Amino acid sequence: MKMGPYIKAGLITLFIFVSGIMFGIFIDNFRLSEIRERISRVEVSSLDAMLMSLYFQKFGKGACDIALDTNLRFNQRIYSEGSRIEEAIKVNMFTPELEQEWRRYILLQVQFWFNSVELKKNCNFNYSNVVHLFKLKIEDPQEKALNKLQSQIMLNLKQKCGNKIMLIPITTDSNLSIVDAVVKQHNITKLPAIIIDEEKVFQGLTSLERLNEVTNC
Amino acid sequence: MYWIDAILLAALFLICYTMTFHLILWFENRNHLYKRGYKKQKLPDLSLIIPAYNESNGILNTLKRLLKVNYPRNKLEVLVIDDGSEDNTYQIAKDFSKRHKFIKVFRKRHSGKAASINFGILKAKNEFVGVMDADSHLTPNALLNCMKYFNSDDVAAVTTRILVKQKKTLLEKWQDIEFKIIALARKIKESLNLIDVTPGPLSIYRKKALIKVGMFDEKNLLEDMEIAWRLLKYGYKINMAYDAKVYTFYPGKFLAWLKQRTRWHIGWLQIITKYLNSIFKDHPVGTFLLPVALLSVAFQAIVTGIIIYLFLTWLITMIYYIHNSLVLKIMPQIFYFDFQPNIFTFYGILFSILGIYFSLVILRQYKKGPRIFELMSFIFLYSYLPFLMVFVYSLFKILTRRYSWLTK
Repeated sequence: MKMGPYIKAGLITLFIFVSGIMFGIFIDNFRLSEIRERISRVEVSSLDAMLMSLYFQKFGKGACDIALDTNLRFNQRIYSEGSRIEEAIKVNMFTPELEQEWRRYILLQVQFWFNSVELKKNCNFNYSNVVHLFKLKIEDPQEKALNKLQSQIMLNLKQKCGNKIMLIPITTDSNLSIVDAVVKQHNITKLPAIIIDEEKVFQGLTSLERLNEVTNC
Repeated sequence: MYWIDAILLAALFLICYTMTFHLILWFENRNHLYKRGYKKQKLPDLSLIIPAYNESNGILNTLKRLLKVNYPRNKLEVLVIDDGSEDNTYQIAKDFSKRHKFIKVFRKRHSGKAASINFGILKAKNEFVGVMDADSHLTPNALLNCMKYFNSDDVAAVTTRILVKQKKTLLEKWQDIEFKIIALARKIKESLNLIDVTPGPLSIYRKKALIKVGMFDEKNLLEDMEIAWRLLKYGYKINMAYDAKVYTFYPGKFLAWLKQRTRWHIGWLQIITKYLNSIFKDHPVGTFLLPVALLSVAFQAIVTGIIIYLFLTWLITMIYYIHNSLVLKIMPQIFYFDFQPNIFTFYGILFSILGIYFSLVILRQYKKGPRIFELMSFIFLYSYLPFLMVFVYSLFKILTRRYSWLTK
């Protein structure tokens, strides 16, 4: 039996496959660097907002509005950036570093949350801090559906309430001790969960109407 | 990397290898498709067997068309084997044979197509026996062209180019494209003696070889493929007369198509099971056909399982999502699409380009090609979804033991 075409086909297939993997690595790395850049921008905005709050806390409350404006602008970007990173994590195959970026992003959210709490207290603002806790990697279809719907509800809430709420999405399966502590402290056993103004906790699917009632919207 | 991705990549590797292998053979053989294996020689005597079961609608037409076939009448005998039809197939053929002495009609108890062919082989008086379906239409030179490809004593069979007769429905048009592609893919594999089927619409055999290998397997659902594998296993060669065209009817409705393909699929699985102990033996079945078939079955099973799992997960998620959306009076966002290219995008695009290129190369040979929509829907729809159904339906049939060969 002739072996020519078998070996030729094997070599060409190998070449095509290696090219495909190179392409995959290139695309994944491209996406990773894009995400890194986005997170860096978010990090700068977050630091800016945090320092602004700190500045006014230390040197006077006269310009609290400027600090609030900085925080709100940062908050506007959170959901869109977050969903972009979530999608990237799902499709990237060759860049486990992306998970690390995701964890960095979650820490920024937590940092922003604490900053927002301080700002509200020191400047006597009446906006609500709404923390949305959820899992990123879900296999169970029912949980997946609830997660999707809760995210949609949270977006609707933000659209409706605008500057009256600070919406902070945080994933609980990011293996971060601060997030685990939050979950433990609030006795959260069921996700998605919503923490409003660090007091009220809602576990499982929570409707827009219910959230409307409990926020200062 | 998740295990699903790893399995899909391995399946893509196999698909890529198969496509590349065919493309290489195509480039190597493209200039002598019509003449490869051709040898001018004295025309031998031929017996043409037509097994028929309840073919009263088409048998007369088939026999009439045979009169137009160019083959010396003194060298040709036609044997119509009526397989215990419940209609008047036998009577129609018998009446016709009275006016044409080279046509003989036999009747036997119903025992299946393979048994009818074997019955015909034993009745045939010539060294070469052709087998054709009762609804096949031979082009005038089909038999003459076929005989030229018996170019050496070890050629046990010559197959033909099978084309679709009726192209009214979209399904028939898809099959028309499919069989044109299959015909060329089969011809280019001739150089490696890898033709793995001698199709029922028309194939010609050396009677001596058939007798030696034990004739057709009467228990197999795909007797025309099984006999080809057996001939190859015994060291024979199978050639293809690309210039011998035969038209036949294929199902125009989906359920009939599904039934036919399921039968073929289960027959194929029967063959794989039967030849398992030939793996890696020094013949085309052992070194190529069987390993490729086993890998195909394995990947088909796993990938089908993955697709069904992903689809069901998505479906259940959507049901929960829509149900809860309606309860909470929120407009569900069903058609959310965020395109993120990755490694599978690369292979998807590459294989689509190769598939379109290979299809166009083949279809260019025909005067009337398919429309863009027909070709695109063939590549992106017909090639995947219906065959997934065939696999699942075959599995269901096997698991529910609806085929007697499983219980024996």
